[in-house]
Amino acid sequence: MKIINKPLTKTADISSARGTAMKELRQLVLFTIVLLTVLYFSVGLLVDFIVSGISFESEASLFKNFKISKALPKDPGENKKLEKAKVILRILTSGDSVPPLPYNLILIKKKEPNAFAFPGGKIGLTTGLLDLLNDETEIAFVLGHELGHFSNRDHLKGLGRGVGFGLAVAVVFKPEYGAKSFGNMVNFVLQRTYSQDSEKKADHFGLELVYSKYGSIRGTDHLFKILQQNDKLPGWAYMFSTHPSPQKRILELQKFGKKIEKERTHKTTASPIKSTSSVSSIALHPLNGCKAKFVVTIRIHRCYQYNLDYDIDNPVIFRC
Amino acid sequence: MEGLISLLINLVLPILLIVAALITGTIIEKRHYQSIDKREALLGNIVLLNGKEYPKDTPVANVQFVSGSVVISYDYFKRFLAGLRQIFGGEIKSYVSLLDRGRREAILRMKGKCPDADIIINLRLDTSSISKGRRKRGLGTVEVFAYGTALKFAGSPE
Repeated sequence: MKIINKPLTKTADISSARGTAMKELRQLVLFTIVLLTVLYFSVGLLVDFIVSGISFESEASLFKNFKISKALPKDPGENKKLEKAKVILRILTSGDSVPPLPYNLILIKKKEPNAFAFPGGKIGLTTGLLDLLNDETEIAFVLGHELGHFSNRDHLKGLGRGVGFGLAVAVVFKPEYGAKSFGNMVNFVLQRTYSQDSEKKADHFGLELVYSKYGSIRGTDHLFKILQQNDKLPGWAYMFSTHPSPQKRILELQKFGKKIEKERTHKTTASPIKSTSSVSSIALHPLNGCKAKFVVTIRIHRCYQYNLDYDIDNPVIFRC
Repeated sequence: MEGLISLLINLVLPILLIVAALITGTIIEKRHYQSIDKREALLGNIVLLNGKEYPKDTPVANVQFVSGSVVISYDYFKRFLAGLRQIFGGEIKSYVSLLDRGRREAILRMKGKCPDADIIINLRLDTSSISKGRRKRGLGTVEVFAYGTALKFAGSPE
């Protein structure tokens, strides 16, 4: 037996994976993003299908005992603003444009201004938000926005998507590997994109509702103007936020507001009320807490609804 | 503020962790491979055989059992890649280089214990993962143990 020791050459490097990390990363990240996107949209479609089968009555009975953490007791002292908001909520929910749910206002002890639509018709307002709201249309728009979430079933869809996709990620990614955090990252981004779209739709609903009840959208963007002034987040951070930036929302509200006003004006001139029509109901709602001012809602044959601001001291209909 | 914290926890921190692990892991691996290449060239004169046979025409002056071991760990980035690879299947390349480094390092440490030997016969390599903790969450470390019999032939240079 004779052994000849040959000098080492390149072939001595037995690793086929040396320096392939970046290529591996690119390939795997691309595959995973495609997989998660498909998963996300599949879960979304499934959730939308399930939610469409849940009636408002079923929702109300299912979430009858839904409890909210940090909710203040039912009678948190003399909170005039909350009482005012309750009156406005009654005005907004009267009519067919809002889903039939047992709406209830809940005050949440939190400094950050925010409002929530909880399953079953509960609307949560934070104490921080209530401190910022003054004008009636401001409160009406916030409540209208949340009613928009109920109308679009965003609260149920959001809940379903969160649970569904969370489950899907848990099944696909094993918890002991760091890759699970990647699944959560993609979930985080996709959820936010979806949420921003829902917020925009809810803003539109709220604006239309305020316009239909109050005949004006003046002051609806006031809250966002305050939020914009106090906004410390950089613009790029809103790409990953559940809500669009206040600036974007103000612009969108102004744009959509103009569209509503134009459409309503066009509708009024294009289809005048027939002479045979008769007024079927007139409702009076106190405006700005002042007994001398009212919003007069005139309904004609359940087809047309007009809201007029009426001042007793100055008995001329001054706004339509 | 809440949104910013959520962004930080869910997106920024995991990305930072992966990028930091990628940078440190790549640097450590590159340096390790440079060291391996250099030491392999230096100790290349020691022949390695996994058989029990050896050239019997030269008398053996000295014989010694030699071993070398290394405990090596994957980094967060390698674990991340392996986690993704487990979904799609295929070669887990991030672990291939890890085990390759472990084996070569163990052999080099073994050779380092007998730099004057002419040949190491009956070479064996054992690999075991250590510390499988609760719920199968191990420390992510692997031990590579190399051992064999080093021979020094009579008349060979010191």
